[in-house]
Amino acid sequence: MGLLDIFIKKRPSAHIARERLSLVLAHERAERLSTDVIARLKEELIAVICRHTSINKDALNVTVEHRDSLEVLKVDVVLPEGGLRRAVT
Amino acid sequence: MTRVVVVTSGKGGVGKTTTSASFASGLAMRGKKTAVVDFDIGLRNLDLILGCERRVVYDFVNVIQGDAKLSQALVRDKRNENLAILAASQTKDKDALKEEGVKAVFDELREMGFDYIVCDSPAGIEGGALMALRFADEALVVTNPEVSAVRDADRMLGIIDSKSLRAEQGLEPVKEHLVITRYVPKRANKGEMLGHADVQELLNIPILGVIPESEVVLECSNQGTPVILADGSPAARAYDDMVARFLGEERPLRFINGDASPSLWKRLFGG
Ligand SMILES: Nc1ncnc2c1ncn2[C@@H]1O[C@H](COP(=O)(O)OP(=O)(O)OP(=O)(O)O)[C@@H](O)[C@H]1O
Ligand SMILES: [Mg+2]
Repeated sequence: MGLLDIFIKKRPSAHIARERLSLVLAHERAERLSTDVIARLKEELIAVICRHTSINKDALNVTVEHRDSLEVLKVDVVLPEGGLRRAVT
Repeated sequence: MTRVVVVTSGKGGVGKTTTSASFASGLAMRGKKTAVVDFDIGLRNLDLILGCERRVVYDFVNVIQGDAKLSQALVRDKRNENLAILAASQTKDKDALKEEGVKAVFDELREMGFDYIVCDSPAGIEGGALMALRFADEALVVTNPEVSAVRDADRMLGIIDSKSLRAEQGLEPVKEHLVITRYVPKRANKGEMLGHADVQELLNIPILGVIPESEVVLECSNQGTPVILADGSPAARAYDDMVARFLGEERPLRFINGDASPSLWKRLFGG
């Protein structure tokens, strides 16, 4: 048994469990939060866009993309034939 | 006013049914009219743990589908008249639980004057587990001092915060309580097992109870007696403390040090 083994053994495994859990829980909570936010954003964006245009809500797609270290909120809107038009009110 | 309490976990086999049986019995012992409902459709077990399996004639799904009246399906506990059990169906498929059906049964339980409806959730995060937490006012989130159980408990907390009726309707959120079972104080103190304070800090909800690992639990399930009735055993006393805290009493945590000299109980019965 090498010197290193003694050190590794000495570290109580519950500490390792605690550290690993605190990382994974933080990550998963952040993810949950952003899915909630996106769901709400999506609803509101759809409402706003539909109020001002004749765009069908199925033509809207809101996603979050991870690019390198950046998070990008992407809103895709497929315009109807004839482009943007005011909704008939 | 009836309070609905779900006993849930995400991960399977952590002690939900054991806890539901003792919690419901404890409430009944303290004079609360309590109905405990098994949501584990297809895997009925609560009746066995409470020792009333031979008196189950109709089940939860029978009532929902109108094949039996609620009063016919509720099994009175032999030990305590304040406790009634509604068994899960063993034969029907798990999609038989529909929200309107569950709501109708709960409304009738409210009318019958029950103080508490305790919902024993199945494992997992969908179907029966969602239905079990749907109408909850409070939740006992059961976990073990072990990484996967803790992670699943956190996941379940997220689900309660988004999928419960209270969350959806923007009402006061479900009151969440942490229950750590199968705790081995000696191992936790040696750093071989997550400590109760670690688990509490990670999940960040108040601890309602820490139930020690105990041989008495198997003995009780063999006999169909809820653990809380195993007078004097640490697990029974820990469950009793848990119920007392739930009802507002202040009680310090016990059986978390592992250095206490063996109790008389332990010396006599090896619990
Ligand atoms: N404090 C304890 N000490 C020792 N054994 C325990 C303790 N609590 C529960 N057990 C045992 O763990 C096993 C699972 O318990 P239980 O059936 O209550 O879990 P569950 O969460 O309801 O499982 P499922 O997810 O399958 O419904 C049982 O064999 C039970 O006897
Ligand atoms: Mg169970």
